[in-house]
Amino acid sequence: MVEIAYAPADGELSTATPRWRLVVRRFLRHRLATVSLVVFVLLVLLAFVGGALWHYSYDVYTPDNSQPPSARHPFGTDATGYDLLAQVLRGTQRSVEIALFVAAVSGVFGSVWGAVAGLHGGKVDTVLMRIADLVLIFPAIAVAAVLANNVGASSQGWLLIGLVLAALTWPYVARLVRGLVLSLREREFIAAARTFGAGSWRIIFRHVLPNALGTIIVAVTIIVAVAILAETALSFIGFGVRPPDTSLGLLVSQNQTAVSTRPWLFYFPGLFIVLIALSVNFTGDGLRDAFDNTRSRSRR
Amino acid sequence: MSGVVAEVLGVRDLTVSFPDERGRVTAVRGVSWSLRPGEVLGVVGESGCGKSATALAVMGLLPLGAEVGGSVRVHDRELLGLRDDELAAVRGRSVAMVFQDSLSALNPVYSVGFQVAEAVRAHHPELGRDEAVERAIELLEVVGIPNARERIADYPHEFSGGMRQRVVIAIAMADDPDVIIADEPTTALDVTIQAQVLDALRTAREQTGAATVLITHDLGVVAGQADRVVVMYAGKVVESGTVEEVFYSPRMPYTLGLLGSLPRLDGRQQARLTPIAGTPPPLDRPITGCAFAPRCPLATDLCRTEEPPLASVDGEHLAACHFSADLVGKRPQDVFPPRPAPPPPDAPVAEQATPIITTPTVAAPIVTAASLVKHYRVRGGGLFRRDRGELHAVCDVSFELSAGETLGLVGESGSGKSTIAKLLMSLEDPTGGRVLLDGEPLSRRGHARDLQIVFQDPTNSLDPRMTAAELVAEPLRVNGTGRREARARALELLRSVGLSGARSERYPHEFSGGQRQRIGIARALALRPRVLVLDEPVSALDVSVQADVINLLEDLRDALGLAYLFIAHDLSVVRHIADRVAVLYLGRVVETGDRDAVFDRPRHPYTRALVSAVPLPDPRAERARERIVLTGDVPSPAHPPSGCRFRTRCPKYLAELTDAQRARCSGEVPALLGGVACHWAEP
Repeated sequence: MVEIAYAPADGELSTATPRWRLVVRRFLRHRLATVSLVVFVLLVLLAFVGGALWHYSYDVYTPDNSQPPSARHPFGTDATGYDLLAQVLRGTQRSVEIALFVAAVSGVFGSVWGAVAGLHGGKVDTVLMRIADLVLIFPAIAVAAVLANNVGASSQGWLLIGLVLAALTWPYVARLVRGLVLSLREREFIAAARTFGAGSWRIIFRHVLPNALGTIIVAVTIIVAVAILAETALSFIGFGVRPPDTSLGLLVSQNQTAVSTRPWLFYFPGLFIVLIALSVNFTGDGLRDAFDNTRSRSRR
Repeated sequence: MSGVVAEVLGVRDLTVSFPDERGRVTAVRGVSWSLRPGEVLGVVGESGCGKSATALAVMGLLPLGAEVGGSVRVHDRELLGLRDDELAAVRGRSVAMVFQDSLSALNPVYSVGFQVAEAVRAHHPELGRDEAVERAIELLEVVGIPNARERIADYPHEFSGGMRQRVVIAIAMADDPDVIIADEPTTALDVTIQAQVLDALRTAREQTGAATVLITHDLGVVAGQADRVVVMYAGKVVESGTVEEVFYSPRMPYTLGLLGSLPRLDGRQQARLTPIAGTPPPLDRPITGCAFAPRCPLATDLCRTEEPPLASVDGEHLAACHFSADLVGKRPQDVFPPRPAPPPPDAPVAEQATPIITTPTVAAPIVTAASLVKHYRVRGGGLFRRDRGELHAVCDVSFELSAGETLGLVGESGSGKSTIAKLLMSLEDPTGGRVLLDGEPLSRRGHARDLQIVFQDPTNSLDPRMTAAELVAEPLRVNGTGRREARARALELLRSVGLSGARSERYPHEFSGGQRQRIGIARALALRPRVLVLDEPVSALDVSVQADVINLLEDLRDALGLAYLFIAHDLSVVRHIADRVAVLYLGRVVETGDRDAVFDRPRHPYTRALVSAVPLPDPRAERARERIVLTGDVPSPAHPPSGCRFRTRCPKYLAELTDAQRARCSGEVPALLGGVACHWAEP
């Protein structure tokens, strides 16, 4: 009864579609991104589920040495008798784990760092961003190599590699988020929050970061791709994942001498690297367009 | 058909549609009108009614992907379907345009004089360069650019908005057009500047003899300028006729509703505005029946199924309504019944409302602003960021505000009214003076509850990632209320501003502008404040929606005993809602007092000019009024004039005073005595 008194007519109800559905719709309109996302999900499923079901394990010798691809060994075997499919799947698991870990850690840390710097401005901003700049100018691969080398080959080695890579990539996110926050903080809803007494942390976590989420997600997908390639590079030069564990980079590195004699050993892990990096990159492109309302009109 | 009356520009069955996220939006759904030689045709309607799309279609300036149908003829030459170069020839020779955004209408890399001269030579190729420049100076003087000769070498960014708009008008005149299309030419401008630009537009019309299409949402401007009016709604013409016919005997409920929802500066109006419920229909799907039916109190099943044709009701007075005959002699309040006030959210808790110890005989002020001063440092760019002096945003402003009272703070851009809001909300620290709450200095945290603010633009002031319920609950959560309790109270508050429970889980962009502002108001009320600072709360809204929000604010004030500081540039709105008024100019209060006294008998020359510049939505009264048009622009607050800050534009100072009297104006700051700060105030 109370509601009728001032309830506006039905026509007043806006027919706008919820935001997330618009984002999904725009993403699906981006063909390449949609296909890429499907490919990436399939690769991850294949690595984790397929790896567990496959009747060979990555660290158990098979009686067959240096076999080309066959029904028994779809990707062939190497000189010591490891089944390459099992190894590639294991390598994909490691690479994806490291990449997602790096993306999560540097995404969260970088976002908060950038948001604090952008929101406070002044001296806080200067100090925080100079620190970020300092990290950026380190030659990443060299630092990672040194750090990873000193860590040694423990079973948790991949975690440490992830931490090192995250420590080197967070400034990218921080700078991006800071720029965004600089424009967000001029918006009146931030001033509104201050007028009823909201503190800085509440403003950052409740207002700034949710609004920066689109940008952060995009930055993070790019970091996923960067991390996969960085881990590959580290393993390739011998500072990443150590045997008996394996990763895609390590496989490529171990088998580089076999390119001409047993090409399958080199090309299968290589193909997986390319597939993962490409699919993540295109997905990121699609996400960026989907979150960006201003782009959507021209693209139909 | 055009044989009956000569027409210079004719639009027939025009349709325009644009691609959109959700499909095609048909912005114009069959519009016809004709422009006769030398007349001014006003096209009015609220945002999204298709008036600008019509103008763009006429000019052939629609964005890529738009589809146009129907016909647009200039002097019986069809424009639709012409190639770009053919169209350009017509545009230059016959049709000139003046757009809202004068900054983008001028080329920033050429001087103003060059651009006007270029237009002159395009039309008179026989003129030499110097002659063209001379003619350009002449034109600039005609439209009222002071010192035109010295200023022709200046670039567009060195001109103020009002001056740029006049340059655009000079360029339009140089084309010697038959038709001038002005699309919201004064919308972004202050009223005293608007008066100048409208004057320039009138001069241009008289000198070139061009017929004018004046597109605007401001019924007052149309009443004063237009000969005939076309009212648009949802992409269609719903009424057209002479200004007198349309303003004094509207025959379409929408027109009547628009007039009833408009507050008037002359105060000749019923106490309560009569808003039109609802919002215009979405244009991305076909509309059956009358597009206005969902909002129309008179609608019947016939209206919902059959679209009324635009038919003659009286000679050339056309209206699209099945029941236009029933509207003869009806007033807005007869057709649009006032809606009952909403149930108020519970009043401030008693212990908060009762004064500390004293029992005052006269209501003690809740908020006192004592000699507020705010200067901003202006720094140069570059490495060293040298100090470039100070911007005097607010200068010695004092006022008091008591419970249940509304103080209107009016002024043009740069008058410092928004800065005062920020000082009150502790979003800025004053350079001098202080804000007292119940006689005690304001401290941020402790008093956050008592003073709350409603911002101008609800799109900007509501976090787009939070639902309505979350937004309203947030102030409570911040101040330590439990989640469940905060939510319950948020729903109650939303109900009290007219938003039912089902909508509480929606996000801001899913609401209309008026509804968003209601959410902003509900949020401001969440902490049971005693004072609301309303910073231009309705200026982003269309008139019919604006009326609804004004009514809501009045109801809430009366029910909760709130005190309002109502900041606005729109004098009509302030006159409607405020009890007392303070007029600001360049950071100083120039006049203050009871609303009726200030608006009916203004004593300060600035107030007099300001009041006279506001257009009334009443053609006869508007045309009979004596208008004081101020010269020049508001000086920069970084270098305010000495003595009285208004003297550089003051008609009295410039025309009436003796040199001895002027010396006092430039040497001595006039004190605010008896409510007016002028050495030579009107009695």
